[in-house]
Amino acid sequence: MSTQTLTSPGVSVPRAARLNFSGVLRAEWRKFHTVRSTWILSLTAAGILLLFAFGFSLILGATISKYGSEEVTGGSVAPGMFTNSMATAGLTIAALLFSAAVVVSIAGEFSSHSIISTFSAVPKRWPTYLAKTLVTGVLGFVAGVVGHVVAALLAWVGLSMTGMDTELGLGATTHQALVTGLYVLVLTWLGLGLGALMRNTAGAVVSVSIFVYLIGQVLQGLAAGMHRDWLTWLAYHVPTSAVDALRGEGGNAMAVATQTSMATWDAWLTVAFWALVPLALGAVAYQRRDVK
Amino acid sequence: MIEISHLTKRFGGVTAVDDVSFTVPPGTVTGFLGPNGAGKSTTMRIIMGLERADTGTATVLGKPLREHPAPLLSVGALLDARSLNPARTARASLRVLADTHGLPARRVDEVLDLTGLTEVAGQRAGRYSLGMGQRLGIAAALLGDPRVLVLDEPVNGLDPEGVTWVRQLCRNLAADGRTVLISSHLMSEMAQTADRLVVIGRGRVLADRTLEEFIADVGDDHVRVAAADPHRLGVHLVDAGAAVDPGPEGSLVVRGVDADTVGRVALASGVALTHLSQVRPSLEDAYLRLTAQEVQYHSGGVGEVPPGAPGSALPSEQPAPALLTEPGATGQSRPIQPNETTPEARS
Repeated sequence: MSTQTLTSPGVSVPRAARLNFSGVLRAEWRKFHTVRSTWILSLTAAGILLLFAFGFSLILGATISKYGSEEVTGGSVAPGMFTNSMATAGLTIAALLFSAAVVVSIAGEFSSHSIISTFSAVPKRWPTYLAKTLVTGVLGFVAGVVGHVVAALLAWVGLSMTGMDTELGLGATTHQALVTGLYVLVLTWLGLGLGALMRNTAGAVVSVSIFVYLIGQVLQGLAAGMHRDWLTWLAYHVPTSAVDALRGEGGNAMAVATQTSMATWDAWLTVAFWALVPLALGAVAYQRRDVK
Repeated sequence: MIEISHLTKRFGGVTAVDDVSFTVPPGTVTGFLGPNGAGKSTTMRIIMGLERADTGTATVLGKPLREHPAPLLSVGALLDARSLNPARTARASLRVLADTHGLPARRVDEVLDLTGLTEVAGQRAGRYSLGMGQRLGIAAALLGDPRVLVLDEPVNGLDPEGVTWVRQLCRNLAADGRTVLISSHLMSEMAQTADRLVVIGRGRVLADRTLEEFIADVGDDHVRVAAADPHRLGVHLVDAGAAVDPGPEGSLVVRGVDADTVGRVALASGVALTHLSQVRPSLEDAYLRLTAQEVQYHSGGVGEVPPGAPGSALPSEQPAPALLTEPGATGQSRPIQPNETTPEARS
């Protein structure tokens, strides 16, 4: 390995070059897609979403074929209800994995000390956080919407293979896909905020998991056992339950199937809280705390 | 130019940087020296906006770094041997930085070529050796062809060719009118690279002057002489105004006069000499003397402890010099104390 003796022959740095937000956006996009963990976690998430949709649709189809639709559902079925329910069967795990990729992208910068070069290039800091928010938010939302549509199609194929004649329901699927995109967006920004706050990948991933998985289930169990209204209220106001409340009929995330009774405004407020409050706290920490 | 003015930074109850002021002028390589924990890295991080000072200011080219419209073109920094993501390839890491300022991809290729990393640019940085990581960090620092370079221990882990290259690079950059602030514990390397020195200990500036001034003011310039009758020679040397101490293997350490004078005194007193040499101080000698009382973390029990340092079995031959800063430059300056000998040292 040898080095050149001159400092900078043929320097191709335009003296008019300036730090600009579009450049920071491009840099954050390049950061996100040039690490292996992003691809591993994202592809695993996609695989789980699609496999669960297809697998559960085969099981559901076989069950309905055996016992009949009314026995299983207890009544009439809205168009797209089966396909959309199956499409969200693996959503919680998939969204969690995508959120973990986002956590790695920000907390990993601190643990690897590469944040030093980031802040040396962008010493104002906030443009990189805003760029991360936009890049991961758009990716999360689009991935959620596209993932839901593909998963619903696979569920429809699975149900058809078991002899069920079911409808995709374009309107219902579009609505459910948008809500799925919102759910992935919420978990993405939750992961980004906690990653910036904790600067520790493992800690932030575990925290997201607790907020998404554990707290909801624990609160639901406690609420059912202790019959306390405030526990029930809390159980509804976790991210998964709040997003499920926006789905309307036939779209609950199967993994945590909750029977929510939130008003739409309440659900939107709760979703906004989980998406924006950790994000804002993370922004403050990102902007103000020293880099070790 | 880098201007540090009354900078103070505390971590809990520990004052890492204590009212530090100095200026790094353009066209020079300024060495930034100090024992471990002296506050060098903290000061450099404050310059780069990675840490906030409790009081005081650090400006680059007249303003804080965050106010520069193109920070990469103003300042390049190497503050950590592993400051680029180990999971990303070297080329991708540099492209990320280049993207922020709209620098062309060929500039990335240029700095990879400059640092000798072209052949391994497609490897993930985590697979790099320490030296290769340093080269990558230097490549990142040079990416914007900046006017100011801040390099914290840039030669750590580099092979001799790399060390020489960094030295030449710094010299060339300074010759081009750029500002270079470089920290290192390799005194021999610093002696060949730096024009000026800022020495810091326990968060305070101990010296701020040119390399030559620093060695002359702090270093222990003396004569070593061995004679058939050292006692008689010693008496005559003291009469001639010299300070004489016993040296190793029966020799004498003479301060205050040069080797010519010692030779003449020996001739006049009729004492045969078996050895006579002028011992010029090195940067390392001068540095160790200045920082002997400022070392926070001591190694245990192997080899010599600098005379006068805590834990040293030997008494200090001379007191550690007081602060050596330009009068008026820092607001905490004291008069320069040249090679003084204590009354006790005179025999």
